[in-house]
Amino acid sequence: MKAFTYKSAASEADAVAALGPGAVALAGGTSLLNLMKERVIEPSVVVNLKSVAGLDKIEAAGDGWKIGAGVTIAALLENPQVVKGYPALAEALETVGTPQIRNMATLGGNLCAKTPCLYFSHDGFACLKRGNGNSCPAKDGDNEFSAIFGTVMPCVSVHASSASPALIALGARLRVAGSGGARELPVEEFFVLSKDDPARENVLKQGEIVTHVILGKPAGKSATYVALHKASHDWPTALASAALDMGEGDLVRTARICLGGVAPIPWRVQAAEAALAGKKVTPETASAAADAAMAGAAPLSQNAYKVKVAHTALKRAVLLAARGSWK
Amino acid sequence: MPYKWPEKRQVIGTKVPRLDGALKVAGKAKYSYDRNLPGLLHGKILRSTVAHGKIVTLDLAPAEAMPGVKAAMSIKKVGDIVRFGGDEVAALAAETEEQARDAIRAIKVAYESLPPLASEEAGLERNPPPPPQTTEKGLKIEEAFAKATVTSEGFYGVAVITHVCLETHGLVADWKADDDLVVYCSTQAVGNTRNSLKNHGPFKAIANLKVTCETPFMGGGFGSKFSADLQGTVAAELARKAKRPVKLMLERDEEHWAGGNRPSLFAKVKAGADKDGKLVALDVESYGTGGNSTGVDMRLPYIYLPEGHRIRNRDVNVNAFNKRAFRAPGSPQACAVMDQMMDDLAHAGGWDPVEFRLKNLPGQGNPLVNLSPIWEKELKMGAEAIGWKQGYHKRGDPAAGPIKRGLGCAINTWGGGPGGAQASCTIAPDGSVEVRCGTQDLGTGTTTLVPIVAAEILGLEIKDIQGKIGSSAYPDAGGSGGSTSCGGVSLAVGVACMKALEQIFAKAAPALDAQPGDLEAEGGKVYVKAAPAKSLSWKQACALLGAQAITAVGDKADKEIQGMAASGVGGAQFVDVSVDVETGQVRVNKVVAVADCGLVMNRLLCESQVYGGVVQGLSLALFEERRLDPRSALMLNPDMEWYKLAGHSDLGEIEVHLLDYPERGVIGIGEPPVIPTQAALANAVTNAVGVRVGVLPITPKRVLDALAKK
Ligand SMILES: Cc1cc2nc3c(=O)[nH]c(=O)nc-3n(C[C@H](O)[C@H](O)[C@H](O)COP(=O)(O)OP(=O)(O)OC[C@H]3O[C@@H](n4cnc5c(N)ncnc54)[C@H](O)[C@@H]3O)c2cc1C
Repeated sequence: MKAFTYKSAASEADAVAALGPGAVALAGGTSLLNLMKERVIEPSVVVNLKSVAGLDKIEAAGDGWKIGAGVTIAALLENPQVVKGYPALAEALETVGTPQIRNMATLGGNLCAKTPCLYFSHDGFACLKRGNGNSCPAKDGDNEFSAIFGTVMPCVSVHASSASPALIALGARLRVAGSGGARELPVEEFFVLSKDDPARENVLKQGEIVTHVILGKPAGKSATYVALHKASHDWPTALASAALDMGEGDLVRTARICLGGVAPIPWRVQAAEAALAGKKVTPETASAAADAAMAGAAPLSQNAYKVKVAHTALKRAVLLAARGSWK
Repeated sequence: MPYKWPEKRQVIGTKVPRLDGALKVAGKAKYSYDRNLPGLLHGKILRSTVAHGKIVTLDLAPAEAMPGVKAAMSIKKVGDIVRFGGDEVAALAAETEEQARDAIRAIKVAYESLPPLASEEAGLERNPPPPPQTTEKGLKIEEAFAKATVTSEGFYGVAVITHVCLETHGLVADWKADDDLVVYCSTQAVGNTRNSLKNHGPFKAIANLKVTCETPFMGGGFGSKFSADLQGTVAAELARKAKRPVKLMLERDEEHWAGGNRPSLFAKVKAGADKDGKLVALDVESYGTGGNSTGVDMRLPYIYLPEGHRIRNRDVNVNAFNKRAFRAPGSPQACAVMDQMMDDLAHAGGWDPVEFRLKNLPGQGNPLVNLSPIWEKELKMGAEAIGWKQGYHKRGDPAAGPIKRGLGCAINTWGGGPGGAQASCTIAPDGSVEVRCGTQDLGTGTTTLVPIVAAEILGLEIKDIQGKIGSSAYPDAGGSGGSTSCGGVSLAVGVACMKALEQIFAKAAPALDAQPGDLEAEGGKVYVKAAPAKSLSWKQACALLGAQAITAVGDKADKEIQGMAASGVGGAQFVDVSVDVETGQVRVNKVVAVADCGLVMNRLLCESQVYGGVVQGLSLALFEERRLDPRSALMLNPDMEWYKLAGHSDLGEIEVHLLDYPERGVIGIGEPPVIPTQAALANAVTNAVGVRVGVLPITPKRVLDALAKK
């Protein structure tokens, strides 16, 4: 790891001021430190956000909740209102890493973490996203775990965050603070798929941090299905989060569905949402929605199997949300 | 008179918890990693960042000028070829680990890239292609197939895996004087580690060099730690240059790159059986890699012997580190090929897989014929314990829904037996007993074994024995490999104690008014067998030694102890899985492992070895795989995140049944239980989903790809 200066920020303003060029924010460190050890990220200044006052609070806000970016995943999972009100979020968080990782990892860090791509996350490979190469080595290399959507983009890594698809499905918003003050935006608009700058996956500018996640009124029905290889301590093969707004006669009024682990950013699938609108949720309609979503998939040489996995995750998330069981 | 194990055993075969367990759990056991000697320097190695290339620049001067650097050396020179990603190029030692890391990066090095071989398939296609080695035995292959009424064909394989020792390779080197080197090495062979430093390499020329290897604890080797290794020699060289102790333990990525790996094996197989369900023909075309200059450890045909077989294997090279021995070298791969084939052939003939195996157990002419009754018993016990009758169905679970359940089995064999070992037993006039043996505890429980044997022979309790192992200063014993430590150490310690006891009996006999041969030691007493009331306490008996302690030496090579140990075990495992055919995830419900191991010395740790074998077997069956970048041949998963290892939640229920054959003597159990798990699991998956996945580890990709081809 390259030597760096360490600063502990006491306030939002402090953090923003300290995050000058070459500086990087540190939350739980479960992702960042690995990349620093591999020298994928070589900051000259590391700014600790865990010391920022109030960033670790879960507060009621109107009909919903305002969650500090520094709240750990373990703390969120121990909060009964969050778990009960937003099952899609809780079910996504339950499988993140291991208990040790969930004890350290924060929600803000989860939203901002970098891809676990085999090439990007290990030193020794020239990689477009890392900035030391001019093409994506996974494209015609080992792409078993790479993207199946958005693969025409220059980088085919998958986004790291398990929580983000749930937050997008739930229509959550983010509060971002920077030198010019704070702003709010939907989580969905936070993520960007950039042809010009494959290094980035969100809209944060130099000196900006995520301070809060704002959850609206608990959604009627929501769920996340995470497909794993190992039972624990593994990255999802694919995951899907669904939030259903139910109308009369058990018909879906609107659905919001987002996939994770399948594209360089969380991948909302409006085709699937449209396929469900006005329908009753059955294994057949759920599967049809998954078919609609997968029509847009363009797998790489080694990961056609992920289309099946993502299809399954979507179908099961929808069934889980509507009926409490996918079986 | 030949020595033998006591008929009535008080300690041997009981359940004795690890004597050093509490120390390990409390973090008080000092491993090589924990030796922070005064003045310690930290060694690091510069490793090649290309998998194949020629060194065109190598300049250590900038590194030598870096803060804290006390010694530097090149390992290769300009013009030398590097053959794998992580190949050793140069090394240095510095005051802190961080300084050493930074200084390594300051070394000026450049490579001229050469085209790497990045996969077995690439290795096969090179020009000229590697020649096949053919073995053909029994009937000509065409004649053998002419006898077959049922045939099956399949492609089976096992990827390269790495050893992933939890304690990485390495040592701390401490020169006490110019000709006196002490190393604290993570090794499974203290004697050979000493020899590798003393008799080979840079220190060979030092007159009267004394080398001692101290390894009271070590964190796993699995066959990859039999010498000081390159990094050990380098640490000792750096320490000699700097005149300070040097610690050089590999980091996790280095452990994957250069700590050891197990060869792959991929096989296109055609097999035939006659109408009675007898395996008659086997034709194998296989390939595999053992790294940049070695091949597979070929053990086909494994166990079952058809009337005619032909094995055509190609050893292929890839630009990766060379193989090391790995827990039962060659056998898990051979078993994965053979027992998957047996399952497919049983399916083709419509035979029950257990019945089919029973029918094809080694008969006359097969060197393993004596193990057949053991396998027969094990297969029946295992089938009963897993619920084969109720749970087994024809290929493909007919249950509705995506979760399919299946059962599978496989059998294994391994040699084991007594390895070379010597031990001494010293009994002092105050009754204290010290047993020394230059073996080591690979994690298998040798530390606990030594006092078990001594206590049994001397009629004492385990707490009465000072067992001393883990140092090359003790009487020589071989490396812990081949499942031979338990046999060799038990014999050497047992006989050392028997000989020492003879001396005690000689002193005690006159006092008890008896002949030495009439005496027995048991329950802390020495007494007359025919008149147990005539007795001395152990202390009283030892006091008769006078002022001098006595020492007796036992050697496994002693002719008089033949019969106390044997070699050759059989085992059978059954696996029950559920497979999600929509995600490709396999969940293990249960594993039943039946293992034979002759005379069981410590039931608890013996069972523990079987559990450990199954755990490792499951991890290999489902998760572990070295991934090389198909272009650069650099390893893509030199970590514990993408080099996936089973965790507790992946294991399911494991049930161990140990068979006792005390009349066979000590055999050894370390390796055999890891052998059949992969094949048994693969067969269970096939039974569940209805198609053969064939290649291990069985990942979601492999399951779903196989189903998509159906
Ligand atoms: C073995 C393993 C398995 C894992 N499995 C999963 C998984 O299944 N799903 C998953 O989602 N993640 C997984 N992770 C990744 C990671 O641990 C989590 O995403 C975690 O939530 C990151 O949070 P952190 O607080 O530790 O972030 P850090 O490591 O501290 O930071 C991550 C990144 O976010 C930035 N950052 C942190 N906080 C802020 C903020 N408030 N504002 C702006 N930028 C910020 C940092 O600068 C850094 O770039 C895994 C990690 C490991 C090692």
